[in-house]
Amino acid sequence: MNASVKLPRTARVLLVAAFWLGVWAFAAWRVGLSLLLPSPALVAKTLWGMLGTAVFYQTVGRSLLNVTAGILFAVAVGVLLAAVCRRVRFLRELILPLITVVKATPVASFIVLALIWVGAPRVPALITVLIVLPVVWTNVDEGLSKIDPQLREVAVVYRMPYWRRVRLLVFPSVRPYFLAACRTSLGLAWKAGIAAEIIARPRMSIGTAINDARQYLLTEEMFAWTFVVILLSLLIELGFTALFDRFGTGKGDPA
Amino acid sequence: MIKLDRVVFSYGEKRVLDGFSMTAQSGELLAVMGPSGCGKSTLLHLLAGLRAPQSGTLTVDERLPVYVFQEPRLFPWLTVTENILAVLPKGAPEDRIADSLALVGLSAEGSALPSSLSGGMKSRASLARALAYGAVVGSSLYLLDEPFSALDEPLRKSLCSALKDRFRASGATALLVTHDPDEAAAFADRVVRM
Repeated sequence: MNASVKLPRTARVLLVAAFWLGVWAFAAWRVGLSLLLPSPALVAKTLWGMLGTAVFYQTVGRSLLNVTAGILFAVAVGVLLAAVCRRVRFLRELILPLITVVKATPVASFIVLALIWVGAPRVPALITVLIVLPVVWTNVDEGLSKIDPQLREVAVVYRMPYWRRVRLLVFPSVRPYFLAACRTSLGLAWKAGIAAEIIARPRMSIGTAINDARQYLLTEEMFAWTFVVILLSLLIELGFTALFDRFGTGKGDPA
Repeated sequence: MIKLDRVVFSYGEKRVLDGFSMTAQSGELLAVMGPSGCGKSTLLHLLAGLRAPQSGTLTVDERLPVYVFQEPRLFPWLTVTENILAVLPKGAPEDRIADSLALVGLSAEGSALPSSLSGGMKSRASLARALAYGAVVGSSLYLLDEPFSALDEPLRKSLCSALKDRFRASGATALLVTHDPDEAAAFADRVVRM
């Protein structure tokens, strides 16, 4: 007889969450100092209080705007640059070392430099660009290089017009690489953007709010904001996964 | 008309065509035969304009030759019908697609993706694409690189005969690359040995 009981997925997720909340509550009780480790109840109460203020939504909105602007710019420039580099090989050779250096440089170094170069308000967007652009460029460049040469010959032999080739051959060939780049870089960009805000402290942003809370030793507020960052990160990932499922796998793509 | 005069073509150090000459008159059906690697596909590539001879002269009267590749080369993300539409000029009559699918026996597979087709069906879909394209652009030259190799014997015979009839009716010139002497005899007026 099989003694194991199969719980529904939601119940299992709730059980796991309850377990870790319990661990957190126990640890907070053992420490006994909310300055070091606030309890889940205190963090939830603080978050609830924050949710009732207009400043909270302005702060979240501003951070989302910073990061989204950076992402959109990086995606557009990354795709365009990769397409141009395919045509102008010398430009690709020129850009490749720069991309490699940007990828290898620690984010914190860039944040400090960006603070000097562009000033605090623009740092989060610039950092997001530096995170997303190399990944998008590299993947789109690879996708373009992997276009099936046999299908290219079909397009040549049958005199397919330029834009039809782009639509029916280039886009579907590059799409999996592009979406993989987005998937990899979006979560990373959000976290790096918040890190940039913490260091650069632009006016009204989540990172600045976390930094302010640290300065005034409002640990429960730091936890509450961090919870908001995690939640938004999950929402961005979920949103993108939904988008990926909708547009990601074209008909006939290899599984 | 097709005319090749002392054409030379090499892939790097490997010379595949070494002073090759041949002529095909308009409306002639030719079978091209020879051992593997002797340059049969290269010959079709040259005639299709995919490569240029390194020396010698090549004259092809047809500006829009139709090429049936050895492999099906279908766009995997497009259905069979979409694969045909992809190569047709805008506004091409849709009955051409239905005609060509019917000729190769794939009328029911128009909405199927290549991944759901067998090897033989993919070859026939590729052939249907070429035939629809040829009919729409009014091409008078067909270059067929072993188009029946993935088909079983009865289908191979019936398709070979159907294509021959179609080319005869339209007065098109066709070059069929094949390893099968029976197929060459059934299809062609003349055999070019390489």
